[in-house]
Amino acid sequence: MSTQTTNAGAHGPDPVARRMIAANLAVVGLVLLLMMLFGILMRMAQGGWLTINDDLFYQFLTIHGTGMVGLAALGGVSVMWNFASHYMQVNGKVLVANFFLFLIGVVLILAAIFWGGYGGAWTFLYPLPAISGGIWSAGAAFWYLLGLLLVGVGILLVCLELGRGIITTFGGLASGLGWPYLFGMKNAVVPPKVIVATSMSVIVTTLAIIGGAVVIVLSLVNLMVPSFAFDPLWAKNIIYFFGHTIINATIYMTVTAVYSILPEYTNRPWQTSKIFVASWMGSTIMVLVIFPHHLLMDFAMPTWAMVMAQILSYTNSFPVMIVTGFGAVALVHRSGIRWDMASGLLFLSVFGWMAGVVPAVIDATIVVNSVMHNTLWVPGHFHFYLLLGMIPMVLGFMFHSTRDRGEGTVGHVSVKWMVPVYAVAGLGFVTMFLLGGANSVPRRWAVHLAEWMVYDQWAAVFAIIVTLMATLFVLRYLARLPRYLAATD
Amino acid sequence: MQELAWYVTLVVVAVIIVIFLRVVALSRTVVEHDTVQGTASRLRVGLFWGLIILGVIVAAFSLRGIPQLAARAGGDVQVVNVDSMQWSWDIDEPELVTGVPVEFRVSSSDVNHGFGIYDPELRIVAQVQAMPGYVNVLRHTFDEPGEYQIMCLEYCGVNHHNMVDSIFVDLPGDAAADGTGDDTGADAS
Ligand code: HEM
Ligand SMILES: [Cu+2]
Repeated sequence: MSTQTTNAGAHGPDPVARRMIAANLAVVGLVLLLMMLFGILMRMAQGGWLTINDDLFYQFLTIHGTGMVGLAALGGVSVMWNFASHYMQVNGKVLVANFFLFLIGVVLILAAIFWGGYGGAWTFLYPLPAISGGIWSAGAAFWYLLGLLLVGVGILLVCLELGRGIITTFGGLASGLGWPYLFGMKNAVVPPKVIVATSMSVIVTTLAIIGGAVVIVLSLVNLMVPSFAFDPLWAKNIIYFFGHTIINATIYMTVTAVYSILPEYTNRPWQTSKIFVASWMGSTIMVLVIFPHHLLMDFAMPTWAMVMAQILSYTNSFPVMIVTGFGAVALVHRSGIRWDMASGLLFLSVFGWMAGVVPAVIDATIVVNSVMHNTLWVPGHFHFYLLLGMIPMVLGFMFHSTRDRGEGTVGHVSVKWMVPVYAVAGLGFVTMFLLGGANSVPRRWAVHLAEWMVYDQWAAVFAIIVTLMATLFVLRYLARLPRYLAATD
Repeated sequence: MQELAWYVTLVVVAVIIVIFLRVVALSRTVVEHDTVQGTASRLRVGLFWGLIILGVIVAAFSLRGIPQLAARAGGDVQVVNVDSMQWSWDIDEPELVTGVPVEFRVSSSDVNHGFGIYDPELRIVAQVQAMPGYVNVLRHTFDEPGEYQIMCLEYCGVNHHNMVDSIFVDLPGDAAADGTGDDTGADAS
């Protein structure tokens, strides 16, 4: 793709990595469908169409949140590895280690939730895991957190290996980010866009997981020795530093697919520029420091930090809007792009990411947050950029990697309706969350008031359509996998 | 405030949708990449400065009204101490009057909760987190009398959605709380 810098020995994922990426994406696809199903059940329960026990609802909430974040991270590192390994040599065995850590983690998490009854949500906000009001035991919380830790360690290993690759090939993470080039240093390497994004993702994910690991370990000790307590406000800061950063990092990882694949489809170059490097420098810093916008309603926080949180949340939207989003639109505009599943989904993903920023930025305004915080507005915003941004990136990559033109059984019409249907239903689904939020419906409520149910019911309908489309996408991928794997072995 | 947030979101997202649909519609009418690039970079500069100016204006106006600053203002207040626990509220003074700022001093004795004030029309008028070991001070002046509900806005376990209570706001000098107010709530947070 880029003529700029490549490493002689690097030709994409090694055979082990190739198979592991396929395996990871198969897992991602299947887990996605299962988690969507839990999502539908939650929306139906809130809409009064389904009666489930409150504790089961919160278990669904916990597994849905954890599973979705987990699969986003797994999908993110897989896509990123795939493209980054075109520019450097990395050892695919690390993906094997990650895969097993992920599986063991998932087993622990599933057991903790459905056997142990843990329902403390994926944010495990201290001291809730230890104080469940008699619903789940300290043991259940313990196994949940341990499982989460293992998943995190697996993702961390992948990031460390990619980081090692960048350091040995490009001479450091700062060079991977393109800083020497940005600051006009002599003989500076111009890193490919994929490497800039990978460098950023590796840095922020590593820091996020270290932060998360610290709170998890402290919480584990607290579960074993309840007298060992720590400051809940501090814990909340670190937890949101972890949570905000990790979920955002997944989209910065996966956007490597957009950078690599869209230029192929449009037959236009999309080169690294100084604006691009500067914007990713901004993102690297801002993603790490804007998490306090989750604490705007904690008036014990210093006011200057809250003011900064609002302002930085505004500026954080610039790289997405003006550089990546705008850049992608300009790349496609009047390019004669070939539309198929992959290009359709990737273009949709750019839309989802850009538009999803809008409700987020608005909610980061403190006076708005005062009446929107922890309402359905919040899931409205993040489902926007996850369901219509991050997930279409992964799906688009799946189609692209198996050279699926969207022909065959569903016919050439596929791209003419499947992607648009997914997009419209997805938009309807997130709109119902946003409408709920605008009407003060609280998030994470198992039971809704009758006044609120209309949004829940429409959301359930849209969600079913989205899930049907996602099922078609994932099944097509799985069906093509054996041929894809056989082709190179 | 909610309407404003909703309509701004609606309009901006709609504009983005229109742009994307247009790009899809025109995607087959090919022109030189350089031509597109030229227009794009001019537009980008405009967008950049436009967003900066907009951001500065919005921040300047919106930051003046933040609740963190209101909590520090002096003057007469009605003090209400709020404690929270799984899964109920302990509000020491649930009968209040309009027009005089109310200072809610909110804390928790177990896990995190969220003190959300809903007006009689079920619209949030203000909120603050309830955190163990901390007392968060929220000031709010009620303009309309009526029964306001307190709903939990931070996930706190299996009965989170049942953590609901009420406060009653009367006109000053009105002895009996009638709790049936059906006016639109105050939105002055
Ligand atoms: C058909 C698709 C989906 C449906 C029906 C769905 C449904 C839901 C529902 C009902 C909630 C709880 C809302 C509440 O607070 O009351 C939720 C939360 C959440 N969803 Fe989804 N969702 C879907 C897709 C996704 C995707 C694709 C992702 C991420 C990749 C995702 C990530 C999350 C997360 C992180 C939460 C927060 C969990 C928490 O509050 O602890 N969801 N979703
Ligand atoms: Cu609660």
